[in-house]
Amino acid sequence: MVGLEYLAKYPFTREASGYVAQLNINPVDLITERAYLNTRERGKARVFESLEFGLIQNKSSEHLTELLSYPFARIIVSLVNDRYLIRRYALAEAKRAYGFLINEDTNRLLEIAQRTFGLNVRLVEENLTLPFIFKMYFTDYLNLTENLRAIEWKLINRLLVKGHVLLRKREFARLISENLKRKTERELPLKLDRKLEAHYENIVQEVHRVLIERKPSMEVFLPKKAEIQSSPPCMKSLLGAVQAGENVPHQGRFAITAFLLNIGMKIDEIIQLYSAFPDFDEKKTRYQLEHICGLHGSHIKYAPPSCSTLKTFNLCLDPDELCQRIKHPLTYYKLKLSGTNG
Amino acid sequence: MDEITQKFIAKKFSEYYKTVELWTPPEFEKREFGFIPFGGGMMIRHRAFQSKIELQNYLQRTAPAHAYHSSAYYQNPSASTMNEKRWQGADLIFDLDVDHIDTPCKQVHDSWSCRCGYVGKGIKPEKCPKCGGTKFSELNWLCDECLTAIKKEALKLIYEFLLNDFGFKENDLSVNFSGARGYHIHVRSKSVRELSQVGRREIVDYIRAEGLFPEFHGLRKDKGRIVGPKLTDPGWRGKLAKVALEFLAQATIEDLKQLPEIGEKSAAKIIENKARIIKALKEGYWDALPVRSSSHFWLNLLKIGAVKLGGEIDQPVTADVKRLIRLPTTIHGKTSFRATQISINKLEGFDPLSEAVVFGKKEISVQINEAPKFRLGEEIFGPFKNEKVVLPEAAAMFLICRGVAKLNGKTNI
Ligand code: SF4
Ligand SMILES: [Zn+2]
Ligand SMILES: [Zn+2]
Repeated sequence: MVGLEYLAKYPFTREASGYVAQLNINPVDLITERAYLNTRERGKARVFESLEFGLIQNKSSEHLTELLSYPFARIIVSLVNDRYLIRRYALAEAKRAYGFLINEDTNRLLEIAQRTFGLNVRLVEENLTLPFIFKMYFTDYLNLTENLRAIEWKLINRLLVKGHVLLRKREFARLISENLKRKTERELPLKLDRKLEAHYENIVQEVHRVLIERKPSMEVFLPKKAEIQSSPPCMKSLLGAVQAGENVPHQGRFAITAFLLNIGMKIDEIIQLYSAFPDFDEKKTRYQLEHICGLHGSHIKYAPPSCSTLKTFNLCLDPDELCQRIKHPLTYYKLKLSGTNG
Repeated sequence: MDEITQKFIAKKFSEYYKTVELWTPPEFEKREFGFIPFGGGMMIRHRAFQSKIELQNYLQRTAPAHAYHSSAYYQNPSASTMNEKRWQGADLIFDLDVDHIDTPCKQVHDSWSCRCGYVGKGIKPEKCPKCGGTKFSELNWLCDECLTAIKKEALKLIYEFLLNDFGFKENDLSVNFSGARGYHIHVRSKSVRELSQVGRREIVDYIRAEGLFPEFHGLRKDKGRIVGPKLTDPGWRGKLAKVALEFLAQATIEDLKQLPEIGEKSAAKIIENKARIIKALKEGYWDALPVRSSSHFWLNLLKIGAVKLGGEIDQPVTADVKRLIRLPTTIHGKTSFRATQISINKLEGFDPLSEAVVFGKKEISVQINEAPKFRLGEEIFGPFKNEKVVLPEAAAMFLICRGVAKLNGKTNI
């Protein structure tokens, strides 16, 4: 058995949702009853803080209030029903959870991964003098890391032992939180009774107002210097996705990053460009950029992938006429720039 | 191919399909089938069959040059668009082909010609050196050396990667000679069925050692020394140590000088201290090399070793989740050989040039254009140039399917 404190910390777990379900609270009561005033305040904070800061602060509210504010926040986000908000909210809940998970004990982590997320994970029993505590079956691992951009998540850079990827505690916590993020994105908006809309109208309006202010404009900003206009269609669309703050899988991120670096964009300019990512982290981004530049360890400067590789990943989008004559996006760029494409 | 020859082949293939114990993939009714007829017609796609007998009758009736099945499982395999097909997962397939490795014998038996008339030996270039064109017609041959080289890649893939690192069971794997110049390895474990293209591509990268950064594999400075992966480490760490040791053990001064940043002098020094360096390396110390910019030196070394070990795997096949792959136990129309299933423990001793041969000893007279020397079973044939020869059926069928021979008019069929 787990206590209320635990459920409040991890309101997304099976145990927590089971507990809430058996309280049998009417969502209408949540928004109208005096008894839930604090729950409402905390729930609103979850939503607004996600939107404004991309994270949810931990305030020590009473455990039951904290726990109930979670389903309340999910109802609000569902009623607003905006993809950007859902992404921001999912990310902020994931970050909040990560803060707790990283300090959680090993068996608890394992239990959450298995029971709540159904992941094929175990403790490392091999006697390795390495800092790895957990292992995850590689198919689960590949699923979860699909959108993680750091090169350290690439399977080739992991220790793979008999089908299991070895993980440090920090990494394991990160993957659980990634799983939470994805699950939230998948589950929201919740299917709710239409009657709720009227009761929640005020709060939904309020979120809408902030949302309009906060949502980054979708206009693609193209720096002049590197002549991005001469880029092939695939790179333009990748850049567009990056700018819109969409989750781009790491192959795509690698491709666009290597491309921009190779056509002469500076690291700082690219960082500015990437700041629209929902999970933008300047320090990490900088490190990865420098990596691709060959400034760390390997000293290998990376070229963007060829057209055939891009095609494999479905990243070759809207190829145009010039594309018929080239095999590499950099060739496209050079031809276009020198005007030899006629 | 002239009409008589084509009819003859069709009859022979059809006879084969009449009696063969045809293999069919698991969950047969969820698979799409595809066929290429003789005479270079369009590929027939989006076919599905209700039973093995139905498929076998089809093969017997149409005697196609090539028969394929989808690696994917579909709800409606015969629908013509992906949307209607309803993808339900796919096996993981690795395609190893002589085309993707560089063997010295290719200089002897392979050639290509450009539309402009320029002809060259070996692997075709990216661009024609004379006119810059990129379209070539190729003449590739099958030889023992090439087939052995690609078999080695298959063994490496199976043992070092699929069974060891990925932990698949032998039962999960099905190994097939493609019927021509390579091997197909199918992984049919439930766990991989729903992997996305991106996930599959990660597996390919893992196997080809693409995007590997040694610092994620334990390479680091520690109290002024450079510590790195050890032979006893699992996964890529152990492989890295192994590759480095093997490379070093065999390296000549010339090999070392090929690496950037290693001059005449340092190469000589390395060779001189080889034994000591190898000993240190076995203990996990990678700094014993008397090279100043040791990190750069090592990483290049690793890169060379890693690609070799990664194996040549055609990327698109593995990453593509809606690909058609040759149906085992059918005949390859460019060789007349059977796409043959091999149990893993028989792979090492497998001889495609005898075990995949379908046709027999009956004598047939053929007119041969040109063919290099080749072996089938215990017998050596050729080389031939513009001549009429009487050959055992197996050899005659092989040459006809390669497109270098036709039936001699008088042959009775
Ligand atoms: S053909 Fe190459 S350059 Fe053109 S869009 Fe596709 S991947 Fe990009
Ligand atoms: Zn030419
Ligand atoms: Zn050869």
